[in-house]
Amino acid sequence: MLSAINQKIDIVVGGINNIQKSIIELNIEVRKIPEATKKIVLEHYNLELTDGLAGLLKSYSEVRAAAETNSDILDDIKIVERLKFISNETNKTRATLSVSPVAMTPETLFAIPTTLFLEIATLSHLQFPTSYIIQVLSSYREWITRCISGEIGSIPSQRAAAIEIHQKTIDNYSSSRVGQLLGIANYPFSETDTDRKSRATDLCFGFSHSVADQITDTYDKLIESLTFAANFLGGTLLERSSHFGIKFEQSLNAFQYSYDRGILSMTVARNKSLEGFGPFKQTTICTWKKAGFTDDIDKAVAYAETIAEYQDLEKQSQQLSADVDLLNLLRARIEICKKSAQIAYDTLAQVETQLIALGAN
Amino acid sequence: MPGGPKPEVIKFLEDLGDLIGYLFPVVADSILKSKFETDLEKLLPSLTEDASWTGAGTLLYVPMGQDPGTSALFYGGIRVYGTGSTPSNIIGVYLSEPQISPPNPIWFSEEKSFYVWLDPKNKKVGIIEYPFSKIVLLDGLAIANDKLLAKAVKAHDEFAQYLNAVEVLAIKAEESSLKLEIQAAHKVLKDTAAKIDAINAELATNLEKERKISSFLQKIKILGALVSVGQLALEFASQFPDSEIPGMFDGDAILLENEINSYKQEIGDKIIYMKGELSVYQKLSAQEAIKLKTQFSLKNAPKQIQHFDGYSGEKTD
Repeated sequence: MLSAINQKIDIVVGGINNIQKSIIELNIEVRKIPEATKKIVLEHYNLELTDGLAGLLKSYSEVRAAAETNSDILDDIKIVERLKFISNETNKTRATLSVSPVAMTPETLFAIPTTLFLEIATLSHLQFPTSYIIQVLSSYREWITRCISGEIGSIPSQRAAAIEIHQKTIDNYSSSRVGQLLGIANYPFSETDTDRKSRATDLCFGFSHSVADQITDTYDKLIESLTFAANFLGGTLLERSSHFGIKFEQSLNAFQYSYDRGILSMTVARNKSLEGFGPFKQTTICTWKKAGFTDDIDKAVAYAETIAEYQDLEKQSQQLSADVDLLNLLRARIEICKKSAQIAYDTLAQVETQLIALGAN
Repeated sequence: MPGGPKPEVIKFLEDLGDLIGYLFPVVADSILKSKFETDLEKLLPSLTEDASWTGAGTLLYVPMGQDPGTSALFYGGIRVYGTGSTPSNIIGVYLSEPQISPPNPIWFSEEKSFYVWLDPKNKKVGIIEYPFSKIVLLDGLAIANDKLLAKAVKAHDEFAQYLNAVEVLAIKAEESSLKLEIQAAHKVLKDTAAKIDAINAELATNLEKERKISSFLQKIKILGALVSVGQLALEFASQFPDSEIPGMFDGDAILLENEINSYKQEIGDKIIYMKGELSVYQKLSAQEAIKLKTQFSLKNAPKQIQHFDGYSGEKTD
């Protein structure tokens, strides 16, 4: 009877196992739904914006090209009708976008000047009343001002949120073991510390003053294990260095982190006398990475992997690897916010100039 | 885009004196006239110098205001819009860059504001009044916005390339995050597999005990038979009082029976424990299913997915 029960339990446990696997996979998929939906909505509006606007720009550039050779065509009724169509459609695009969920995103803000200048150009060609053009310019001024107002969803709030997540993530690492080993920490700066403060706003933050290479806590358990591993190979552990860095990425105009998952590099001085080559000789024989290990190094790594702290560091290292990708994305987003805010201020200055020239106060 | 103003747009006058006289003809305007004259005299040296270098015309703008009640005029100063071939082109260039301008006068009047056109080549002074001032302004506005539009399109295209680079980062970050989640999920599965192995090992031990008990039962049957034989022998012996036959089988049988009962109890307990374990797994599975159904419902998942009931359990008795 127990054999039968055992078999049934095997079946049941197998079933539970499969269900558990499915639940985990489904949970991952379910968690992705809100993000995916948001992305689809944003893409819809962006498509509406870019595709619609691209078509209008094409039509307008054709009218312009024709008028370059003969400016009289601007009085032609058909051309006037075409300009009216472009003007109306641009107006509709603005009306949709300015109240849409993407009204204040950096992506939209980059398209606002195109929409604005196209609409004002067509209204000017059509000799609309200046009072109406003033109203249109005022609407754009209101929209752009909202984008940089600091209200929830505006560019400054998006930038602040990204910076906060970045800062918190780095702060968490400054108190973790792997963060301490790699020297990851936010620059501490005071209100009067303008130098560091400017570095922080330039997104250079993310490092403490101490460099990982300079850490010499010889009683560290990991170092003990690595030293043991080195001795096991007939040598001595000489140095270790970090694989965590930062560099300026030209295409993104932002500093980006780099991390290659190797926590430490291990340089071992091998005692060559064991091989009959005379006295002690220093040789770098490996870096703390899995690729390209010799048999001896495999043994050393296998030993180190049995140390609990190494296992914990491995886990933290995997997390850091994923976090570096997130941090780099945040840095790029912060830069986008910065760029779009600049666009907003430039466009506002342009709008103000035109408003005053048209007689607005 | 369109050419400059038609010739009749500009009203040409002999000199600046005529211009001032034309603009401020009445005594009531004497204060404004004086202010305008002073401002113009201050500007003229530099304007003449610029014009002599370029040979191009110079455009000035004079914004005016008018009280709707009293019709009193308000003077807004002279703005130099620059030099160029036509007034519209000059306005086009001026408005295509951000400018720091003083505010317009109170009760700004489009009708009362005007442009002054200085033409050094023909040594003429012109005035552009409403409604021609509006036409010139809108022509200039069109030129300015055409220029700005070209810049904006270029900037937008560059930004699109930048966004593509950021999208690559976003995909990388999403993949890394998923990788971590999958690793965590695998760990859960690995832990579950270890628990299953432990249960299986326990079951194997219990099965081994069951096998031993079965073996014991066989022996007991044999022993029972032997006891019967022994009893027969005793009965047989009782008929022979002088004979001594030992009754050792009775005691051993009781000991064995006790041991069997103890094993049976132990196995029974194990089975109850294992049933309990199964029940916990079933409940957990049902709870996860409810959570998932809620999630599906909230996210409007397809109906056939929403019908997912999780693991309802298998009866094990």
